[in-house]
Amino acid sequence: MTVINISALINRYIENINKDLKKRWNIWEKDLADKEIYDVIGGIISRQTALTIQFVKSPSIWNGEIAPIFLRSMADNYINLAWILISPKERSKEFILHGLGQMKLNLEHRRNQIESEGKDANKDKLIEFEEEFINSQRYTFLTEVNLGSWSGKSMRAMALEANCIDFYNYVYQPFSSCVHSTWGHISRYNVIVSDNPLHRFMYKPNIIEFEPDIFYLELAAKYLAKSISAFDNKFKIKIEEDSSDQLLQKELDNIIAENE
Amino acid sequence: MGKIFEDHTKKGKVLTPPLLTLGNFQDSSYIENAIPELIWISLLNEKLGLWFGTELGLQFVKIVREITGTEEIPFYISYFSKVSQDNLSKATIELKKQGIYDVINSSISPLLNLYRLCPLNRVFISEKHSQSDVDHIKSTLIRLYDKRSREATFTLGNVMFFLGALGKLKLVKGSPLSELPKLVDYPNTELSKLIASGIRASSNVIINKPFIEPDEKWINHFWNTGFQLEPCKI
Repeated sequence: MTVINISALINRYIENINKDLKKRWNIWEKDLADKEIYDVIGGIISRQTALTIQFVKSPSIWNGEIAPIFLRSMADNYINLAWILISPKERSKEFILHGLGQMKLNLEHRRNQIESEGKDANKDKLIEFEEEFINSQRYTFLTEVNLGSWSGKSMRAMALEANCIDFYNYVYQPFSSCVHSTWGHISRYNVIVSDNPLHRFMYKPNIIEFEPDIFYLELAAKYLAKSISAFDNKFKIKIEEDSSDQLLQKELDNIIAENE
Repeated sequence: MGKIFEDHTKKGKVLTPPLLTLGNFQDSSYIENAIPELIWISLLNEKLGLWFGTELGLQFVKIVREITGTEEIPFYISYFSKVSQDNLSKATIELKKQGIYDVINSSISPLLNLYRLCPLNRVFISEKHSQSDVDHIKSTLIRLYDKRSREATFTLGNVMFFLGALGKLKLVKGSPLSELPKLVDYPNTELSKLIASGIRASSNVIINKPFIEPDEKWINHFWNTGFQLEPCKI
């Protein structure tokens, strides 16, 4: 087996996607009257970029056991983005309000936990900080807590509306089994059938030592590119250079060709 | 994009396949439940060959049935859990009288030796098991796990033969099962494959409640003994 060093390639890719984010944020025409649009959509693209960076820096998780945890998060993020882009003003606000409500809920749980331990929650620095953070955006006493989904719809319904139902069916759904550690995932990655006939095909625990699989790097790059493309299309951003994803693919193709 | 599961029935969040809507089904496992009941037949066939193993198996089943006087056919091991020791002792005597006790005992000895609580130990005698008994059972299990293997097919075929010979099985004239003796050619002829297919389908009924009364203690003992002998470690 040939060992290929791709750390330089990864570093270049990270540099490129950082530039992509900065370029787009900087040239994006903004209207402060609709501040939430820029807060949220900029935030989602930033999140997608951050997820990609952390993922590509960690070849040890480029395998079927762990990669889908990241990739499904990216898929989730993409569907959110695609749905918000249909009606950015209204939906960005909903996204923020729901998020603040979730934070308020977590805060109350934390307060409860501290008080159940017999301590004074008012003296807890973390609670103080969290509350100030929420209040900096909206006072907690004026914030609703919505226990349902942030959009009021299922992820599937959002994907249908945003015209990415195939992405939901072929990416989001399959990767969910890894995220939730269902039997569908565990039976493939975490157990092995005993070959002793006395054991009646019992599944026993098994830890696999994975080699990094470039396929997962390519997927992460693809999902980021998909998000960037959705953003560019919506806001009519035109950037003439090759995308970071295209540059990455060219470099990978060259490396593979050189080593065949 | 095509719709998926169009043939399934949706109730709430559950999609039910067409077959399951036809009635009340219970899961049954050939491996989990049938193998512990029928492994004695496989061991007879292995040791004595198909013809002699079948012949002896039938004689044994006939003798036990005559002594217990029941309508049931004692082809499955759990049967012997519920028979009185008095009747089983009579069966032992008759088997010796017929001169088939020792040959059957010796043929199924790996089973008797390894599984001390096997109900057949109430008829036959066993010794302390050896590694060769363990290896024998393991190799028999490997062959029986595949329901389409020759060994599994002949074992199930024997059950059908016992039922037919003792009047418990009525076959439609012209049906593949009425040519049961041709099973011996399995899997080299189309007819033998058809017969085998019919046998496999019938076995789901014949080796389950209410046709037989499984002894859960025996079935658990069978599987857990293997585990104790050779634990599943990592």
